[in-house]
Amino acid sequence: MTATEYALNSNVGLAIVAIFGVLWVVFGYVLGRSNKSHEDFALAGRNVGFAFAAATAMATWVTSNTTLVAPQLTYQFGIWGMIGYSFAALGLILFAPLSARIRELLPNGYTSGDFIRLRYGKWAWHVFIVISIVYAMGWLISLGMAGGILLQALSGLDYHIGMSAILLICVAYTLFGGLRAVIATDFIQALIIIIGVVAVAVLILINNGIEPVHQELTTGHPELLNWLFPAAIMFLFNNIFFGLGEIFHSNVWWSRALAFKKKVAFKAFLLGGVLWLPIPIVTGFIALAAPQLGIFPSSADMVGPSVAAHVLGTAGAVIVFIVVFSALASSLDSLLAATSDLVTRDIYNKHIDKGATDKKLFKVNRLVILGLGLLTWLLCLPKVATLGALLNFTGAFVASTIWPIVLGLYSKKVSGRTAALAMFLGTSIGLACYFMIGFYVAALTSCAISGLVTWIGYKLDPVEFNWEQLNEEAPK
Amino acid sequence: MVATGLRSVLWFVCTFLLCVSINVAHATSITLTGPSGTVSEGYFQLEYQLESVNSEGSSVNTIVFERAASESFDVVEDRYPPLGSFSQVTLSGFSNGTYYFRARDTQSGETSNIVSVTVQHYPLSRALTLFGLGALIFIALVVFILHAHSRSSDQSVSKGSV
Repeated sequence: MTATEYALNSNVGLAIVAIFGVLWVVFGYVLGRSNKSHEDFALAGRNVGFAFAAATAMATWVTSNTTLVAPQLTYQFGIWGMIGYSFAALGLILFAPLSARIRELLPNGYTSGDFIRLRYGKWAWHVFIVISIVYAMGWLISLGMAGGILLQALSGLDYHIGMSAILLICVAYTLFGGLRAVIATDFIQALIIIIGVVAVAVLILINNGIEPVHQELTTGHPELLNWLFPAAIMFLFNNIFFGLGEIFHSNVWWSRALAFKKKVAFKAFLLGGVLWLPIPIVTGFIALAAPQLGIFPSSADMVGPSVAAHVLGTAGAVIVFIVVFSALASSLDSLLAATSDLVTRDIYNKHIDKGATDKKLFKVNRLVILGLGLLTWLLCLPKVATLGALLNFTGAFVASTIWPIVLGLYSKKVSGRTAALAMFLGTSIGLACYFMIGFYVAALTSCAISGLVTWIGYKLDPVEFNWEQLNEEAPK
Repeated sequence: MVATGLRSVLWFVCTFLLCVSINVAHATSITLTGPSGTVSEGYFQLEYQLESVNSEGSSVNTIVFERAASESFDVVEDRYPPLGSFSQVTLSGFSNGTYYFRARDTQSGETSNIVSVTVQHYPLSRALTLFGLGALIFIALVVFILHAHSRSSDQSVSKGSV
């Protein structure tokens, strides 16, 4: 048995990046010409229809998480990793009712930060912004890293070149087109992802079959088939709460809920979640085939593309490359757009220049996109952790927001003090568990502590919030 | 007699030094490192390094990691080739036990030092406790959202509260 070769020539990898990069940027430029105001740029005019809405919900959630981390966690945790990862669809499905509520309560809202500021006041807002920025940067860095890892795993090209290329392309078309371009490219990327993933699954089953894979795992890697694999059992609900926390708090999803037509949000998130559910099963399954194929990656997050490329040959590697590249781009652009909205609206407009005109905000938003792109690139240069470890670090932060957001949307009684304390304590104890026990308990403990504090505050420190306070006027 | 004695001593010293130098070169030309403590998740990373003094004959692509059940490596139970030109492999799915690994150059037959990895999974009781806690919180969350959503749909005018 000798070392496994790369599936693609590095020049072919670069050529694909260049072709798709030019396509997305031109597309973004064309769509961006119809943006006349900051509201057009940030929320696509609040007029996105059902097909685009469902596609962007699904495509944005198909990211490095599903194409690189789902196989990674399957390689590490076996069948529980694969099935557990698909439960992240519950985040989208449970966000469906919340999105309808958000659309109703915040007809002029821009960001998730708007809601926290108006509903809970400044202390909770401060904690929330720290959580949001840490999460957004963690996700941005993981996406940039994933671009580099993808190119390296498939073509042997230097990590820094792949990472720089994907960041440059996504920053360029988000800068030109705003959320309108992001949603439109998501629609095309969703089609590519669905067709590509189905093609990979069918080809692997035809070429390889299930029995040899099962045989190899039984003899050489038995824990991967063990339903009572302890670390994997711990990971299951942790992953669910991580997914819920990501979606419930992140402006990526709030900006979509606010951009979709009023009656569309509920159905779009529900369908997006159902469409997403089987994708990690497929991407995870291919990781289980790795030992039987004699593929042992240097880090677990490279296993997905390496196996797919090995099984399917050069043509298959090209398909995998395009699918994963589309998945990364669809998330990276969404995150850039949503995070820049958050910084522009919540930090610049509400704390630095309260009288800023729509035109000024439009300009600041674009500068923030550039700045975020540059910061992400700098932070991606040293590849400090595996994708799974990096993402799950942010799990301790985001899971603490689940209960304060859900109760804040439906109950008048939860106070700002309670929400701030719940998020702060949840995050702190979640982080302590991340370092003392492992990444697979961070989100679970964070959510449990935050829920407990919220429940105690609900009982002992009730307030009577007036929902009309959420109906803030849009900037002129 | 003295000259013969000196020659013998010199021969002995030279032979000894030669043997030592060969052993040192052999033992350190491929160095294998593994996880430092006990592994609780069943997955871990192994990495080899080639010494520059003796790396000419060793092509990176010819190195393979090998596993055995005993330190003597009487029977090689499995082999793990690294991907491309990488010098690490990540292995997973191991049950409780101690495993022995080495890196071997398939061209020269040269082998590295032996690394032992002990896998001891978390207690199942702890895992099931966390699973139960997670299930409880999740059910509470789903019930609350569905209940609150149906109430707010019924009372949309007053933006109903729970």
